[in-house]
Amino acid sequence: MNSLKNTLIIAALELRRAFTTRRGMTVIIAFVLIWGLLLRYGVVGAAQWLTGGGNVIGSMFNSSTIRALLNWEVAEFAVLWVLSLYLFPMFCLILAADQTASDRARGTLRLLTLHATRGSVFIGRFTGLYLIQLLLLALVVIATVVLVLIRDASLSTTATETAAMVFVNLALLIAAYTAAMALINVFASSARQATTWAIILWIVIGLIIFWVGRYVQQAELLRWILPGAHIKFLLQQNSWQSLQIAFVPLLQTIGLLGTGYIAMRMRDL
Amino acid sequence: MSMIIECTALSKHYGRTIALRDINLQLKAGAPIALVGPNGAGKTTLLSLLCGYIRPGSGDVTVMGQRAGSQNAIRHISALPQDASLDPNFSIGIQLRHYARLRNVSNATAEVRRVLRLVQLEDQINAKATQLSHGMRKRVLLAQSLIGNPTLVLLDEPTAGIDPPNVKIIREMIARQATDATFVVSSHNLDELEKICGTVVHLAAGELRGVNAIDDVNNEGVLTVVLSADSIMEDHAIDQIDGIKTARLRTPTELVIEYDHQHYPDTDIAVLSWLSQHGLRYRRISKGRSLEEQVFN
Repeated sequence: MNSLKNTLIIAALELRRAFTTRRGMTVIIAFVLIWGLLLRYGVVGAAQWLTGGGNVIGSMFNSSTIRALLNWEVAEFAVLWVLSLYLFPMFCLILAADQTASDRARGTLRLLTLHATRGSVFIGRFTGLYLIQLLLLALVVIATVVLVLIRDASLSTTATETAAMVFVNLALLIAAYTAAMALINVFASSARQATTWAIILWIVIGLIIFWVGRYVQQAELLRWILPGAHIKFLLQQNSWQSLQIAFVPLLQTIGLLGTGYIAMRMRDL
Repeated sequence: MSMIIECTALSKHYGRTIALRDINLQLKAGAPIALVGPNGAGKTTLLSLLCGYIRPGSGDVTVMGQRAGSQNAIRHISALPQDASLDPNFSIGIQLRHYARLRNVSNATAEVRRVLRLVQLEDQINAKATQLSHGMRKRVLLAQSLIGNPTLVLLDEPTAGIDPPNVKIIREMIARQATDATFVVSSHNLDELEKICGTVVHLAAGELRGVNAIDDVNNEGVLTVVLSADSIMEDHAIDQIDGIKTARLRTPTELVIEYDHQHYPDTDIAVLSWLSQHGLRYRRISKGRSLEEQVFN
């Protein structure tokens, strides 16, 4: 009970860090500005184009993906969907980069673990940073609904339902990425190092699985351990049917958090 | 009196370097305990093991009967770790309140004010750690270690690198709080430790060299005289006083005298009068050996 309470207290301080400190606000403002531009000039522009039946995106993705996008009832969400599936994981590498790393280097983690268990600190930090990303994701999704309504108010019901579907799928996706960053943070000594290691690990593990998969076909299955492995599947989806593969990010999150939790408890501070 | 710290066959290696070797140690709750030894003796490693920051290579370490680092142990202990810093993004008030809430203190704000008052920094509650001097930051960390009235407080080099006024504040605070908690203080400043501690744990090269009470029986029949810098004398000049067995200048200004305390209990008065007769001025005379003399000779 006390551990759960401490986990929530630690998570709450992360929210406070993001929304009340200068450093946190700088990151939030940068995020809002980037998404403001993407929504205004990317989503709105491309949505107008999609509703006109264009196929520019076809040059970027395979035809089945294009067909899936053209099947979306709300064009803005089709564009948001493609952008978010790639951009939110990338933002996650930055937003969730500093969970325990710099505190370990500074010695603050030594102070914190005098008052709370390592498990509470690890899960609390993950929870806090995940909640921050959920709030930002909600902001982006709500902004997209507003853009849809500005274009065509009659789409309000469809837009709201689509927004919920997009939110839930992206929330699951970034949970796995945030958990991966939590695990990497146990070994990294700074946020920058955590982000660098994450990029290197993703590329190296992906390449290893690819090469091994050429000789041992079953090794291809290993790609499912990497967060984002189901993005290709999600690109083809435009309804709640996307959740039929929700177990993948869920299991990834549980596995990565479990590994990180054990590593956090075992590692010297 | 209950055992507050117990180490059994405790060893810790860092690669091939032995930090602690086969430490068997039992310490009771009570007066502050000094943890002394040269650099590399294993003081910080021992405190880190007690805090649960690191795991033993072999052996056991318990705090208040609980495994070090466990949730039950955390409830009872607190510490000022060496080289630990507060988060520069938050004020010290926010951070200390955060720690108080984690310790389940009912009125976190009042508790933070209480501990900051103890280190005379209540007016800095809204300052960030980066705005404070090194000595003030140490005092804030000391305040942090007192949140929630822990039973055992471990202080790793609390006065390292800080100026005399801050040292005095820290020393006085420890002396005042020693009635409510058992302090274990690691330091190179033996003069400071001597003023506040009752027991000395001596480590060297990762081994336990001894655990001694500062006022133990070995100190009976010993006087330590600290002379003024301009007072020069020779070792044996004072031997002529009845009852003195040996007199040795440990340093040019520190004279250690062994005497027959049973038959000549007033030797201290005789020594003072001898110094006066010979025009030698002194800064301090104390019964027993200095902590430095006990530990390193």
